[in-house]
Amino acid sequence: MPPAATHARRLAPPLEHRILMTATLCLIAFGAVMVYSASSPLGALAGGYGTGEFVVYLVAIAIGLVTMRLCEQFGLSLITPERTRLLLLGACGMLLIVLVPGLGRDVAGARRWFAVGPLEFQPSEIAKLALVLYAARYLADNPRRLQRDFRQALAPIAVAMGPACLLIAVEPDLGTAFVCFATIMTMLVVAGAPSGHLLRVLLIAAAGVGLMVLVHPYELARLTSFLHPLSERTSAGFQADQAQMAVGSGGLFGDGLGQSVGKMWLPEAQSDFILAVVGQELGTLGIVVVVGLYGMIAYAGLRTARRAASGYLKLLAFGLTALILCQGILNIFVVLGIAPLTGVPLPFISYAPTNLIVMLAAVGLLLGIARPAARELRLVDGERERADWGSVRDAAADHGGHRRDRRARGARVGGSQAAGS
Amino acid sequence: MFGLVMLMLLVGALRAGYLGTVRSSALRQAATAQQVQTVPVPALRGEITDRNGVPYAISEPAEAIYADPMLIDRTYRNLRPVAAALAPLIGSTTSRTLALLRHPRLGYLELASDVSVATADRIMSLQVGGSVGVNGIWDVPTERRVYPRGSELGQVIGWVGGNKGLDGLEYEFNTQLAGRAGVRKTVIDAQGKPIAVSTAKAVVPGKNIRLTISAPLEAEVQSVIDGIGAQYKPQGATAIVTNPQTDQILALANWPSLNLDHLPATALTSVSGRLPAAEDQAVDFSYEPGSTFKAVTVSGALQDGLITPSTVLRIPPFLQAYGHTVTDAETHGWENLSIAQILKFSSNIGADLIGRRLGPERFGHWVSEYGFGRPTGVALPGEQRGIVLQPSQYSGFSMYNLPFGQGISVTPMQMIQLYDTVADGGVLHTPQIIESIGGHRVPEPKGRRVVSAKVARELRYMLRGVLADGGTASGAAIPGYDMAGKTGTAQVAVNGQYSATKYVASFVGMVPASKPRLVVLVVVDDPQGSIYGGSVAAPAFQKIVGWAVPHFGIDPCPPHACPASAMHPAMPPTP
Repeated sequence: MPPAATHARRLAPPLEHRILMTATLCLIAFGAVMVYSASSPLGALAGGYGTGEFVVYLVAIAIGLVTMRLCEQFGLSLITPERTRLLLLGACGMLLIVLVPGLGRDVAGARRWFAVGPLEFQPSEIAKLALVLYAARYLADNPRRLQRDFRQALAPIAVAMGPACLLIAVEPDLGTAFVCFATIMTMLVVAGAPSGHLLRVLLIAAAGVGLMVLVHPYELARLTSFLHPLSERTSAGFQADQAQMAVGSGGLFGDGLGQSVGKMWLPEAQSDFILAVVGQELGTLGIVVVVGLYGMIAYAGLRTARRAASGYLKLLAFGLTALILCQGILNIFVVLGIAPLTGVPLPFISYAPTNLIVMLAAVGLLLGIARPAARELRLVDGERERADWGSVRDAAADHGGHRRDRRARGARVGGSQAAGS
Repeated sequence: MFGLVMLMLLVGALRAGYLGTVRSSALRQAATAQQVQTVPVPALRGEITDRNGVPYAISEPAEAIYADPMLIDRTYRNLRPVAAALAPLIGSTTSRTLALLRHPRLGYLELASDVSVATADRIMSLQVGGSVGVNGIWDVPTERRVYPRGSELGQVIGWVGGNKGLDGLEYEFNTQLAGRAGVRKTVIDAQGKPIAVSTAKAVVPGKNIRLTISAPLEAEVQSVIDGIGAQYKPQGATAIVTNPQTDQILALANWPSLNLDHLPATALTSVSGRLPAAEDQAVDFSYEPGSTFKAVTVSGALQDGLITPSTVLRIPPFLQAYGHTVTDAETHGWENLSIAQILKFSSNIGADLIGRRLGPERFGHWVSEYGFGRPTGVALPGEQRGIVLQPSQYSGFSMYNLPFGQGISVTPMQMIQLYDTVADGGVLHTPQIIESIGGHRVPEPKGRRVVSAKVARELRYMLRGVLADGGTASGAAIPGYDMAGKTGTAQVAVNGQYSATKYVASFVGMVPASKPRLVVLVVVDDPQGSIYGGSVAAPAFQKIVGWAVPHFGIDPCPPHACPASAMHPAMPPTP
């Protein structure tokens, strides 16, 4: 059956698709084990079976995998510019609502959660995805704009994304705000924004953080505590100490699954500090494996971006990869004591249901971009574009943008991309 | 871009490697210091029981309560409710507790050294100002020594302070009783709740000590000796009951008694805080034995073949030598007394005449043979050796004095060893008070023959007369029982002169005389109202034996062989 075989080979998922899938599933499986290990003792001590978080995590995985599959299949065709804008507006709205006392759930002085009955989720996670989608769309649609003067180039982005970032920051959730900021900066770099512009943005962001510290002096303590490891025995320093003690205690090969004592000392052992539990139970080796899996995701994500069919998809793939990795790297650095204490979960592994679902959705979109179907789309660009992008005007804009973008980027960032790949 | 990402991931991996290898031991140490609590686990002190397991000293788990006044001061604005809640539980008053807690610069203070575990639980769950448990109060497991039988055997058992034996057997056998404390490691969580407990060093529990004492007899002997104390108001009194067949001490009681459960605080803190009542007179009271010592003189002369029980001596009314006069208790003219009668009527002059036959060297030999002048070696602390002159040190008057037990100093334990030897067929054993330690039997000490079984038997049969009609302790006889004994009424030397008013009254007896199963010694120091061994000590002997014979299943002698009525104790019935 030569035709069928040919068809099968043509539809066989490309390498990046397979790597992405493998790494993601490995991370999720690993995460399930670690969440159970990290959360069960406290749950059991509290009088239950110790499976509370584990079960929720499994449910989140189930929802996340379905979401991932749906995003892979239909995600790209569903995301129209209008819907992207709507999503961002909706996320901003929810971020506002969370701040309203009574509607948002207050945990340890931060309003990050939004509770509807027994379900609760973090709007900032939706906002993250919305920001990436919006940024990719905007940058792909207006590649030339970045070359204009600072105000003209970045004002629309600032107007669109500033509020979301700010709202996340005032929750306060500096970690997620930083992840959003870093992701968008990465996308700006990839989109070819002049370095002068980027520098200014960085300065403005630094000023913003400075202002934040002035308003909430405790933030400074949090931000600098990692510079004095093992010196403070309280609050922020305490958490960082505990994480490093746990990792250090594990040594190279760890104390064995379930043997971590550090999880009884770490606040949020099953979420933000789960890597410390990994370190204690599976040692440096366990951390290296996790880091390696993120490396696979990075490789697969960037390969997807390089081979993406259009500029928009390229930027989107970059953005999604950056979103996952910024969060991952920040978490790893925080736990290992080389970045200030900011509470972001470790993607796929931490007990953070909303984040897990959003991360899987992002992977789903990446897989969608990497799919042979999408690659095929590149081959028959003209014919399929109309059907996929919905409106003629959009399709034309994208088509044009794509071509312009390719030219522009080929000249400027192709080198870095080549070096990176 | 990929390179940048990889670089950052590599930084993370390297950092993890750095923490996991280079810093690993330091971090592990920090984690251990924080997470692992090392708690000493005290070894429960061994029990001291009687021969049947009746406890005399037991340890029960208790808790010491400590306070951190500094922390309490910081936590509670008003200390009074804290003190008021604590005071009744630690057995103190509110004001005294308040005074203790008002040391805001002190971080460590013992509130109570040994409260029961239940009380400690109540203290640890006290509610002051809402939260459960007082911040700055903690408990440490310890133990407390309990003496269930109060004042019985008090001086023998001794007591404990700070888990160290300070007196008596608690002191003598402290090592065995104390055992060795273990170490427990507890892994705790951030709230201080234990997660895992492991034993770093196993506890070696203290060994139990089983005494040869019989608790019911001990109780009886103590009450009898207490009766003497109440009746005669002596300086002190002691009674020892042994089984001469095994040389085990069955009872040992002193008056005044010592209630171990109500010891004054000074006694608990150090060895030096001694109490008069804590003296175990059985081993550390030295006295001139008087007539009970005649057994040495007579048995020695019998063994040397110088006399027989029926040898008749002509006794003068008195002996005079070196400016002293030796008389008998009752004045008499010249009379002829057999050796048995000399013992029966306790003739001092008769004893001197026997001693004269022995001579200083042989007499000194027998004194030494019976172990006088040396500790018996009984497992009791603080044993005295007594004061015994060597024959070479004798003055001219010594041989007028020593044969009836004056001019020599002995302990009650030495005296009962003497009569145990006589009762046990002439073989001397160290009296035993420890039956077993930690379940291992203490071996019976090897005996040493002092006199022949025949001599011992002859002496016992002669001593029957003391309890027969006309004997110095005729009132102490129990009809139907074959008993032998000897009274002693010794003068006490005060400032080099024998006092006219101070005496030591004693009686030592055995039952049944043919093959004794009990030897009882009663020594009363300076009794008031009566001075004679026959009237002060012998009735106590009678009470003790009267209680003990049914208890130990000692049968009355068969009517045809019962010598109690026999007026000629010197003539043993043919066995």
